[in-house]
Amino acid sequence: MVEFLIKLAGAWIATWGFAYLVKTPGKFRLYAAGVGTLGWAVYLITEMVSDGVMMKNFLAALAVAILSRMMARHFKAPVTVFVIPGILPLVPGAGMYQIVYASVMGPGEMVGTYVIQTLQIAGVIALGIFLADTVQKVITPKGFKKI
Amino acid sequence: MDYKLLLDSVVMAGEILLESGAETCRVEDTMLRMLRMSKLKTADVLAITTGFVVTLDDPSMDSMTVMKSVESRAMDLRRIDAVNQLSRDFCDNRIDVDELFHKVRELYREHLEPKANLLPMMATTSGFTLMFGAGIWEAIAAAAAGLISGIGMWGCQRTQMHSFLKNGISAFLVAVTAILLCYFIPGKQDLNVIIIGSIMPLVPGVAITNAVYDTLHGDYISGAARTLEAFVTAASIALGVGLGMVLLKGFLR
Repeated sequence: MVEFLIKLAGAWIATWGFAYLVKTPGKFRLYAAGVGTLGWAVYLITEMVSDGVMMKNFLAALAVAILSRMMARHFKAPVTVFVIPGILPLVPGAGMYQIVYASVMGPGEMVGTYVIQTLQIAGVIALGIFLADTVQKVITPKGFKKI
Repeated sequence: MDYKLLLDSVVMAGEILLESGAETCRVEDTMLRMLRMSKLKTADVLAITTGFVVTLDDPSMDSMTVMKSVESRAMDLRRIDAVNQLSRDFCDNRIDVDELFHKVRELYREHLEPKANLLPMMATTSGFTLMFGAGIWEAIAAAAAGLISGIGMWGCQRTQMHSFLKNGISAFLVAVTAILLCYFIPGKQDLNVIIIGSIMPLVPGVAITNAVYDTLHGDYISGAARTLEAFVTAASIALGVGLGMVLLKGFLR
């Protein structure tokens, strides 16, 4: 439990720092960090109940995207303000590192496996964002038409 | 309404959005919403990642078309939010076209000096290291790696280096700092988690997100460009870390 909380605190600090780096407006920075933390909480909880790499990334990305949409609606701000810092904990930096490590230090035959796994994670994150966006498009009527 | 003034404001707004790293669908949408306020018959925008064309036409006047090529800069969500707010105010008739022009121009003329942002950088790297389940010493080492790579990144930005080289150098500095710290600090540290945490500020999260949004809106050219950007960024980080590891192979334990 303590470990879980430390990881969440890490996620909060990290997302806050990154929100600062991409110059999120000051009033939204805490919320953006909250989005990232919640996404990571979903990731860790899913990790406890299932082993799959896909599932935890997908659900976490979905949670981040939905929460960002809600915040964007509430604050009347662009959704990217929340999604970009919030999604960062999920971006497969570890996979990228494993690809490099395997190609430098071996075993070389693992490189292909890691490349595929990294691409799958990136794709699943994309799918999560995609799904949240589409659902929101369907359930909210659009007043502005592109002719 | 002064249509020339409106078009100028919209062009500046579009340029701010595009160079601050907004998705092209947002750029098109925002510009089109503002142009529609003119109530003219034709108003259209075509935006891609490196520029846009915008046109305004009506039977009562000559058509006006502006093409703008835009050099993208660092991600800046504050400016995206500010333009979004102005566009909302304008479309809800809270401000008129003169006020819009002056406010957009103020934003457009802002002098943007690359900032080092070392403290947020250190917070990000050590935070990610903790998030991946590391201990306190690894987090401190990651903060040091973040500091060094942040300084390197700032130097690259000051000399206006290409982003491929910028990311590669920052990743290289991360790898070198992490490997040396692990070698010289007594005790057992997990090198992998330090490096993974410290390269996180460099990974192409923004490019992946924007690629999804652009592709989703049917903007396949920009989506493909963003996807390529994500791959190139990933490759530069891999190159930097890999080079650091190859050079310091003797220090790896």
